[in-house]
Amino acid sequence: MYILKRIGFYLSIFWAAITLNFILPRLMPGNAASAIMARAQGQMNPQALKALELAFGVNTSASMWQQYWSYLGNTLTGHFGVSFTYFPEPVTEVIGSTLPWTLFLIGVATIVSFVLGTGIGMFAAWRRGTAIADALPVGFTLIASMPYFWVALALLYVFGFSLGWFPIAHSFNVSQPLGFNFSSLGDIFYYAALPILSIVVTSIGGWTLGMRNNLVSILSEDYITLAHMKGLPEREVMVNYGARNAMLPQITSFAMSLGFVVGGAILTEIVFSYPGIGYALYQAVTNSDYPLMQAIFLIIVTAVLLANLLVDILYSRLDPRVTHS
Amino acid sequence: MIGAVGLFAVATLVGCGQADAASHAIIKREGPKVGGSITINASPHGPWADVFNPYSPGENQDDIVPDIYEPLVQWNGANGDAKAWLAQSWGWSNNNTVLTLHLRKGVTWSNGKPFTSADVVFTYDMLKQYPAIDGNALWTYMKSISAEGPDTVKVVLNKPNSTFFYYFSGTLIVPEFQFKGVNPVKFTDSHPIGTGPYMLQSFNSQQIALVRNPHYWQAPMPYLENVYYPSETSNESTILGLATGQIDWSTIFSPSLQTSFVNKDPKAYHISTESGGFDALYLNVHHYPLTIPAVRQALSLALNRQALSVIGESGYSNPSALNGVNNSMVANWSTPALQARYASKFAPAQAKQMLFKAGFKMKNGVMMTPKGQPFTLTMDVPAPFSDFVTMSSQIKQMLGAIGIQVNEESTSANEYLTRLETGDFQTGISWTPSGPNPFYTQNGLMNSAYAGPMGESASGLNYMRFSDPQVQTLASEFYATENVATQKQIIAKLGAILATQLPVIPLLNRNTPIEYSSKTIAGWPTAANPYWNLSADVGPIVVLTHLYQK
Repeated sequence: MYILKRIGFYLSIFWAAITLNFILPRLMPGNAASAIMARAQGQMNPQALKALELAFGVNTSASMWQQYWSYLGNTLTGHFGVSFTYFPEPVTEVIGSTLPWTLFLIGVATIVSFVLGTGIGMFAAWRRGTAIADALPVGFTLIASMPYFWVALALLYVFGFSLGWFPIAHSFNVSQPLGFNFSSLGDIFYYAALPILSIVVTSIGGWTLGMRNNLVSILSEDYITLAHMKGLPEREVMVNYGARNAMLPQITSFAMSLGFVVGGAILTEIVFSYPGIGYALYQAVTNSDYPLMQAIFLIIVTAVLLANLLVDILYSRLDPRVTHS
Repeated sequence: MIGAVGLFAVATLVGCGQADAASHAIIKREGPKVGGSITINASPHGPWADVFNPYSPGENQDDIVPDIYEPLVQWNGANGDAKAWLAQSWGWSNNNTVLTLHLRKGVTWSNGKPFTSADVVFTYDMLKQYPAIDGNALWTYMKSISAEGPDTVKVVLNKPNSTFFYYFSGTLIVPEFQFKGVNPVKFTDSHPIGTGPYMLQSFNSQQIALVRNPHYWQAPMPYLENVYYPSETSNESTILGLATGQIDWSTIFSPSLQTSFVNKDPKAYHISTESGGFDALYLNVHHYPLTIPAVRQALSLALNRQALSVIGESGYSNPSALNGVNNSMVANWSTPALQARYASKFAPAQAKQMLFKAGFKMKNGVMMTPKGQPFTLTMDVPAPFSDFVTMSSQIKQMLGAIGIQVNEESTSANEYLTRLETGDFQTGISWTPSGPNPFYTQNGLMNSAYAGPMGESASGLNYMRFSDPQVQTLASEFYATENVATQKQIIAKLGAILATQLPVIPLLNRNTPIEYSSKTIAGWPTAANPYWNLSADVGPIVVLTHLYQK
């Protein structure tokens, strides 16, 4: 019953989101044709504007309502149309070639920072009072407060360019075709190493601090004192009594951030020339590429709402108090 | 008489082909071997789309398609010279309304089928059938095109127009057997078949690989076996690729190429420039007080173009004259005396005097218009174009020094261009039209045919909707003649109008830096042998076919 109510709630949010998805891009001035002229910076004949408008079918005479209804119909049946930026590639092809890379890169980066961050946070709380345990969360939070693109560029310059330890662009060695073999897999991870490192380094601070603070506040609870008095070893108290309770908010944050993975990390993709969906979205927005923009926003909205729903269900399983309130 | 004029024009144009035969001979004596490869990123476009149709809207693949498909004539953007390519020779007749082209014999498509006049006629008829791909509006000039035998094509115009040939002959020719019956707007053409020096070897959204066409009509060229086009998402990643030697040729702007590129290997890494039109400050001549020519002239005097060049464009683009003649075109189309007369000056004191004479007054450091209002201007700034952003803020300071207040409005590139197109602006920096001679710039800016109603997209770059009956007369005179001497006189008169009326204020000659590496590749144009311009994105195959592995 609880779950059904949540699903209904999410469906109404979904409808509101895709309506906004329709309205907002059309409020922006300019259309796909003028965007291409702007990108060409004077190298295209100015007469080409009319030809482009014809080709893209913008400036139609259909009313807003008509466009909205056909948009709703197309969205729900999966007809996303053709991208203006990558004309005439269908939107599904553009997303199909970029989304897997983003899911891989950001997914791995999020999981790695979550696991490492939570582990370090646990360690920081357990050994609080010692020099290292207190310095770690502070150090990582300091790095997290630096602008992301600066950290990414610095890593790229030092490890990719000056030292030459890592490649400086792309997601695999483009002169060798990808196949289902170990050398391809190794290649993919090798090329993803630097981008993942940049994301982990800047986001680990948040996880660490969160876990440490949760755990520290739980350690002052009565049942922890009871566990100590029962004579349980320190490790058992820390893991079974402390961390398991402290993990609840961490897990909900983690599920939320998984939902945002599909949004792509546009800055990562620009700095490392990584072919992900964040860059496609950026191009779609600057080029008034409505079909591509709408499709990507739809994916992001669905992923975030699904993640929210998952969190709700998960939380009700992990913490039964929620369903009875 | 007309025939002689036509022949004269042909001789000047074909003459360039003979100069090239000499440089061919030089390369042949050194005996370059076939082999090796080059990696090019002309400019960052993001991931590639599997589309090789030259008529596909958008410019995602515009850097690569000219390696596969070829035009009738190649145009050198540096000096406006034409080089016979798929068309061997051509001539005008019938009062410059009939153009007869003789195609090169022995050219084949990369699948072995012969290239004939039928393909040329088909390509242009395709543009007529689908106005959505007629980006140069060729069919507004053309009445018909027909094949007069397997290597001759006849084009009939509605009326004489001397600017038509430039737009017409740069069109890429596609094979009838592949494009017949498809919609060229939506056709992806993933397996392109062209007459060009390279064919598609493999496609990947992160790199496109081309391989040498062994049946190319300029055998033994091209010498390089492969051309690779990696996709890049930003200027920075392209520069890093250039500096590490992973990219050999590019045409991007970056503020400090000397330190980030050339200094990494000064013997091998070089910079050149590609010129095309001007960076200019567009003024809405319908907005008071920009309606007064003296005010526009005063604004021009208040600008320190040297500072704009050094700080805004890192010195690549140098200060321009006011008459619309780019300094790469002075030798052919103007005289040093004319250029000196219409040179730009930096004289803020004189600017103030001009404004005072026009009825302006200075009150508490603020320039007041004759109507008693403070003189303020809004300037549109496109946020992604860092060079325009820097120049805009410098202009704001320079005008502020003579009491004019400038308010900057920063917008996306798309919105900024839309505002210019619809005339919804007061001032803004932008590029200008360009072509093989200054007329394309002057006419493109001032001819009312390139304007259109306010509030709708302009049909050209006359964003400010400037109109002057003298310009219209001079333009029709230019269209009607192929005589170079007459054209030079008209360009001089148009230049005078542009320099005194100043509907746009030319700021700098727009020079894009070109980066290239001679570490493993030779055959580049040099100062001693400048056979072509070095641009990687406009007409690159002239240079590309000459390059060879060291």
